[in-house]
Amino acid sequence: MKNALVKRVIALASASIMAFSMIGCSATTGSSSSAPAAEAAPAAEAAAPAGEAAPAAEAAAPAAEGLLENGRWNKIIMAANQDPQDLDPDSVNAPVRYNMIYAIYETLFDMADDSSGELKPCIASGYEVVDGATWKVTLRDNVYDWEGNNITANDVAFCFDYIVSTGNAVRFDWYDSIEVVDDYTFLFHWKGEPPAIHDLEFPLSRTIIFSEKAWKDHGESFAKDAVGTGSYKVAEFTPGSKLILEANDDYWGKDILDELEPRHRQNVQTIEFDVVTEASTAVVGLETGKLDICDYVPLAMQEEFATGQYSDKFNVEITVAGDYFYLAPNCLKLDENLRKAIMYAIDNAAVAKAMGGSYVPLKTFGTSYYNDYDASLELDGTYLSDYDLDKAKEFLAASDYDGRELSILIGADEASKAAATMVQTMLLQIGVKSKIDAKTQDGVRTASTSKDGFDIYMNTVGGPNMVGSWHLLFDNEVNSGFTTSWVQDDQLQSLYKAASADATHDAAHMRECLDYVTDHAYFYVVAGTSSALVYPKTITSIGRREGYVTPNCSVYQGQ
Amino acid sequence: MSRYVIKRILMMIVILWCAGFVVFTLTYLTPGDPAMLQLGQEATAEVIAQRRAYLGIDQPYLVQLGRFMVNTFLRFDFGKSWVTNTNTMAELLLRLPRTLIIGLGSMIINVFIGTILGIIAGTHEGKWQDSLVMIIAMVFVSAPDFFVALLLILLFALKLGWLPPYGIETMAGYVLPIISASLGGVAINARQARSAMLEVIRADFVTTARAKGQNEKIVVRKHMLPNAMMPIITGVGGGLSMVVAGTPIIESVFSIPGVGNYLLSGVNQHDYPVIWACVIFFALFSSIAILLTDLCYAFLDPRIKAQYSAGKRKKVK
Repeated sequence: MKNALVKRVIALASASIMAFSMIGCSATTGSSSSAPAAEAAPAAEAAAPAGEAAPAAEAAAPAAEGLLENGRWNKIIMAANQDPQDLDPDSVNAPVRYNMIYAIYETLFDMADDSSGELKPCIASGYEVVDGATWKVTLRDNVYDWEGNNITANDVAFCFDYIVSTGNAVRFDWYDSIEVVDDYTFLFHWKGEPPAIHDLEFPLSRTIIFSEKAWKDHGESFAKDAVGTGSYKVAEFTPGSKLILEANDDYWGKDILDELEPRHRQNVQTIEFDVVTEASTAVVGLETGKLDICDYVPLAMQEEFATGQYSDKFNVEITVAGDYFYLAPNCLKLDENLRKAIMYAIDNAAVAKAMGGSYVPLKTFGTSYYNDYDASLELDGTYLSDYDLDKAKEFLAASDYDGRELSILIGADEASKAAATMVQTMLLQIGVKSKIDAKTQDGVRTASTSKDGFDIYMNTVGGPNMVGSWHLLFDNEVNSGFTTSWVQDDQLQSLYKAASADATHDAAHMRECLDYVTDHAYFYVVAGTSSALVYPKTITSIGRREGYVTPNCSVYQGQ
Repeated sequence: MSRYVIKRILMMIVILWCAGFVVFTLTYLTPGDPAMLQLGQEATAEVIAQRRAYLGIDQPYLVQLGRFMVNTFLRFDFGKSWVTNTNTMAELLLRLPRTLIIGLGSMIINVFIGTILGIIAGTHEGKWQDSLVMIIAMVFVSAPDFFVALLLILLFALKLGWLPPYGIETMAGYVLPIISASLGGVAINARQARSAMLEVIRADFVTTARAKGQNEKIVVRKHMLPNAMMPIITGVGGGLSMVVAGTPIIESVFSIPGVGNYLLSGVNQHDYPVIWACVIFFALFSSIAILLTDLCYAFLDPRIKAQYSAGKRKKVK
């Protein structure tokens, strides 16, 4: 506490020297003192010693204040750490925009908000399996966008054609075509019988459905001046700065909100997303009352909201994300003993610590964030929990390692670099030399899909549920017959398929698959991410969709 | 003089063509696949190929280059962003005023305060005023932009509550970014002005003016300052061309949707139409800024003006 005070005083002293020496001669002095916010700050507060200065949040009026007559909370302002850039409905794989874009657009079905992987009706009222590879989908006849265009089967066909024609049809592996039957009925033709619902996640619950007429009326301005069917309309959008959404009073689903997933609720009148890329700036935004919610407060800075001077205004939740860092050894180049030597030599707790305050070590391939996570999936007694240098040396002695330098392929982000540096140091302890090969995202992709592109590969992975995140790891379809770690193993495929198929998706099958993976040292899990979600005490229950905070379905005081 | 201006304008067109060719070729040669980057690691090779065809980057270099040059310089169509599907030049022009406010604001501070500090230091060489200015300049030039920005946010937004920590809803939102962006420039201008003053301070014409009994203030204002202005104007001209390029770090810290952020996102996402539009626009603006700088030289320095006039007379003969 004392250190923090000293740091803050030093920081303020430095700022004062720099700022006042500047402002003393500056022509802009007048403009700064005449700023509207200045009127709210009492002179006595400005003159108070730096360490004792009352927080500006006390002087500033809260951004959201009370319930409106229609039962909605007035306004909530949430920080967004990345710019949504556009509201174009063509990008189905942009998690950064999930809580923004899916408030204004809707999809045929919703994957249940509780991460159970269950399919819930939305624009479509239901489906019927005609045969394994053909589904008959029925649309609701009362779905309208906010310009009054009724959504029909022709609109659905237009949207799918658009996604495919723009080359944005990511994870459409099973999609073949759409056949319109009548205004509110169409057939999905799949390329075969899909083994599990989550294999159809992108066509069914990610592809945005909009009116063909609205699209043609608006032309290219659709990306900024979007027209959707969602429970919120765009009131203002300034790319790089903010997106303001207003509750859609004419929402087609307003009378059946209880039947729809919570994400469609309209508990707030106005939602403002402010783009604040710097976490430290967002923290000041919370402290000054300019922001209400921020879900990327660094763990090191959450204390002042949890127990410090702002604890009377905010709640703090430490959240674990679904995505996690993994290591894939190149199984074509490294024999099983060498892989085990490497994995026993890595202490993932130390690696997570080196990556920074937002990372936590994991003992399984997934996190407690996922609905299908189970404590029985924690891999105790394996290299994920036991850091054992003696064992590592034993495996190394039995391996074919000839002293060559192994390449560690990583993305060029800071966390990956810190993790790779720590792994490199740990490998050196058992006499394995390595070099770090940091590349941009596309460089990583090129190298990782080449058999000679790496010895050890580190990246992040996530999915709709825990077993869904294994698609990029254990499924040999991702790499032309090989897994990401260049394994071609029928037994692994059969165990993975059993764990991921709807009928046999349970902890026992998942555990069997994981045991096989660790027995052969095919993969290693490094760390998961966690951060602090800070939100005002006026929110009694925070709403989420797939881990992303959704202010419109949060519950506010008095609701 | 007018012939000189016309000649420079014609040269500008050639420069823009060259800039277009160079930036297109460099982005073409840059390793990495924009389609792959945009679609993420879950995209299959087939989908990536479809996306490449949609973006037109599956065609040979000369076909792509020809299409780009024709669209840009004959149709004035800078294309749509590959990521946001919006017109790049329209987006750039939308963001430009915010960047200009910060750029010009910080430049005005740089020039005025930097020059004044430089003059004070130069005319008080070796005295405490000189040392103080040089220490201030050293601190300003050494402090990284983002660090200064965060300190200013802590002081003015959190502690004093005078200014917003980010955003541009009101003009008050521009104050901290302008101050943060200007400190380095103040230091550079102060040092440059000091050097320029020291060069002229011992010149014969200054000694003559003093020998004639001129007041020291008049010596500084009428004899030293106009002669010391040339390197300062060169610096201003160079700085002016940088104004439109924006300050990505400052824009990022203060969440300002400016040109710097736009270009940065274009580079990060391999959104080449954004990079092309920005670079060509910067080249155009820089050419105009340098032309204006040269014209200012002529206005301030009779010797340069005489060169233009002499050229004209020679031609008439």
